[in-house]
Amino acid sequence: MNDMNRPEASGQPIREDILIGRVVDGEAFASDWEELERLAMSDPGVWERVGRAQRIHARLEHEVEDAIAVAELVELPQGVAPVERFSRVRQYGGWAAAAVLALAFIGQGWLGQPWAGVNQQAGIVKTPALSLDDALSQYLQAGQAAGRVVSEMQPFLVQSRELGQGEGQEVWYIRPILERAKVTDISVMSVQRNEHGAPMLIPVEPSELMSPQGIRNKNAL
Amino acid sequence: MDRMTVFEERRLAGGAIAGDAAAVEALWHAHRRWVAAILLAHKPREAELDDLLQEVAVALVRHVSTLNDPAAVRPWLRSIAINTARSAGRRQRVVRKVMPIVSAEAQRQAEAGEAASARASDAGSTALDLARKLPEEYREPLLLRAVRGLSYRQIADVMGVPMTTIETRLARARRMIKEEMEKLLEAPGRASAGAEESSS
Repeated sequence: MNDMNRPEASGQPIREDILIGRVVDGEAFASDWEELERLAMSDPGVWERVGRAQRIHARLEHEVEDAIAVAELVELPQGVAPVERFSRVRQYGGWAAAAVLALAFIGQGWLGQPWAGVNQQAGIVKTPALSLDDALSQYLQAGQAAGRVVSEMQPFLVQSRELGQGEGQEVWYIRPILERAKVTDISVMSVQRNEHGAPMLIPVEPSELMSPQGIRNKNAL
Repeated sequence: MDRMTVFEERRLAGGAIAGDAAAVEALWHAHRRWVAAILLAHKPREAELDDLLQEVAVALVRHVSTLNDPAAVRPWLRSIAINTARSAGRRQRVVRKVMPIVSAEAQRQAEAGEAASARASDAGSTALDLARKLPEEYREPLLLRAVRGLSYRQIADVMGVPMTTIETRLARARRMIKEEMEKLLEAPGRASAGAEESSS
């Protein structure tokens, strides 16, 4: 296969290759067929080569279609915000900013307090207020789009207490979010139990996970 | 893409650029198969195609509005797909560098698996395996052509090269694949590959 990494390996395609390609791809005109027929009059092997090229192409087409079939299942992500279109602002923004700065310098006096005008304009950029539920919803949607969040699972109750005076209940709960990540870190976690029998997380080396004996030894601790 | 006229495609692209969500979705449906073929041509073997497609889809939604010209959608999508595939390649290289630190045994197993896969690939000699070993400039048009319905003109539009260049590259790619298949037929112990080829 090394030869295939050298584009020059097969040289320039001969006219026959081009014609056969057109036939295989359904792009041949009548004149191409006539030319191919003329070639075949002196070399009948041309038809065999057309047949072989068609078989190889059909096979490749079949394999590529199989490989890319997954594309039909990939839909656009939900909850991903498009980037604002600021192309004109970007295009002229630099010049505009320079002009504003120049005016500020002129206004304040170039040799007086050069940065005063700029400092007075400085301020904190406020982001629009987002409710906690909206923020969580955005996180879940963006996470799903990125393939990290799998789903939000059913919350479960930890404890609750009466607030009294008709104020209802204070509820403590855990809201689990199932996420996935490709781990290429040096260590991973293994579930073990502590001296009270409660599960705890212990870092282990992946090499230990490779061997079932290693896992058994670790869990037997 | 095969049933969509150039006019329809431009209209959709214009709508997508203007922020019409339905147009963005229709655009994705029209182009995702050939985008997958581009990814297939450039991605590392280990990368999952659906993960990479998802990345391209996110980029489409996020950045289509920054395009100025509806006619530029195809080359733009192609460059996103190629960048996505190359990023995946860089990530794989980082993983390979880290792997020996993590576990020499895991690295040894990975290498043994890759070698076995390469041997199986040569022996099985699927057309797609051979196509993926072609130089990049031949591999991509060949895989695009194998997506049903993509004409020379459309491939030329996607790749931003003249149609005659596509035709020449396809002819050379096919010649290289044919020669490789013949070599496999001639090699001792590779008769099964030839039998498969001639029976298909």
